Amino acid sequence: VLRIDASHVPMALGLVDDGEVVHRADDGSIDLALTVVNQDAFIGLVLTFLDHAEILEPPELRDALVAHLRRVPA
Amino acid sequence: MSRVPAGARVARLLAMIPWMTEHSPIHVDEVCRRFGITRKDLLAELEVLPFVGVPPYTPDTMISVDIDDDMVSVFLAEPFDRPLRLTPSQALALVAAGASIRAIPGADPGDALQRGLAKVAAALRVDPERVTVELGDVEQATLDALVDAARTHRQVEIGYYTYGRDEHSVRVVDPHRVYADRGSWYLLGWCHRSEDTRVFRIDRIDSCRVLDASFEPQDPTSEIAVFHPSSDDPVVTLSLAPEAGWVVEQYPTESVVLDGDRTIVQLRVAARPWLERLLVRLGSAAVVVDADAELADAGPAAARRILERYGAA
Repeated sequence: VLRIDASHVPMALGLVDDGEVVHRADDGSIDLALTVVNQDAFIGLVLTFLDHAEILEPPELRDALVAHLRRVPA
Repeated sequence: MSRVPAGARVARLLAMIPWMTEHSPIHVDEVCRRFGITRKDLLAELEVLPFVGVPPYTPDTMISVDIDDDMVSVFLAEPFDRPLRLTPSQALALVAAGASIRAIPGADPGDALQRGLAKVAAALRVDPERVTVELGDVEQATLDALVDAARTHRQVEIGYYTYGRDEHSVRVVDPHRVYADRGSWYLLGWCHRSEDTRVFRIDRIDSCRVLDASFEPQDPTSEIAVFHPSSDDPVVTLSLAPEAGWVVEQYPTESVVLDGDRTIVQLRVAARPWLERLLVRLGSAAVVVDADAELADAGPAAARRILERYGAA
């Protein structure tokens, strides 16, 4: 499940065509449920939103994204 | 030679070659009249033709041009006379390309191209009407409004998300052309906010209002609808690991140098968020070798912001 900030919802819905909106918050953000078949590609997709998106679950994907970011050279 | 976009120039050449071949020898002035170009431009095009051919590009596989006393003769090499043989996948790609053109508003379904492609489809035993080409997830009402505004030369006000700068804005645009490319719809037009020609992805337009104000129509061949970095944009130098080689293929580069198994590439950066996205996606596969001070920390700063969101900074 991927949380998208309100400012990036149109972009997200344009990029992701097989997701299901499982929650819409009052602030305009949405939670998208997606089936991930390629972890690297999914992390690349999530990072195109920079800090305007967050993987809520599963924890393994959160951890994988965090590990990826920690490898960005300082 | 007058400045003609490369695409328009190739299209013109593709029309000129068979006609000149069929009518050789033909007077230079007659070719100029038929194709509406100057003598100087025609002679420049004719200088290019001897470099056109097919592999292995030996003299017998190249187009030859002879100009004698203002009479032009164009001769196609023997390989051009062979019947075109397509693999099934190449033929299907042609049918699909034709279907995408048919999807463009205003396209004539009965034109020569569509009739020709129908024959290819028949040989493949596929129904071209059942070949569906999806050109991005855009609102049909937005697409129709933009096409109509471009046709009637009316300005539009659009709400637009700029991916590179990560910002939303409202702009007034003179819509010059709506077109599809590589699976997405685009609007090419004069942006009054930027005071420059801009290309907009239509799936990033979240509102569109046709205004009463009109604009002077533009020559459709006078603009090139591709991104060109400005020479004022700062340059960043990256050292890329082999798995990041796609960067060189995907983005305009200033220079590319191989250094062992790594690639040293220079890119112009139009906006910091674009570089941030690139660097966080590349992770450990890219190292910034050189950059202006304001861009030097783009990767780690963006990574830090995202990690903060995950409570992991």
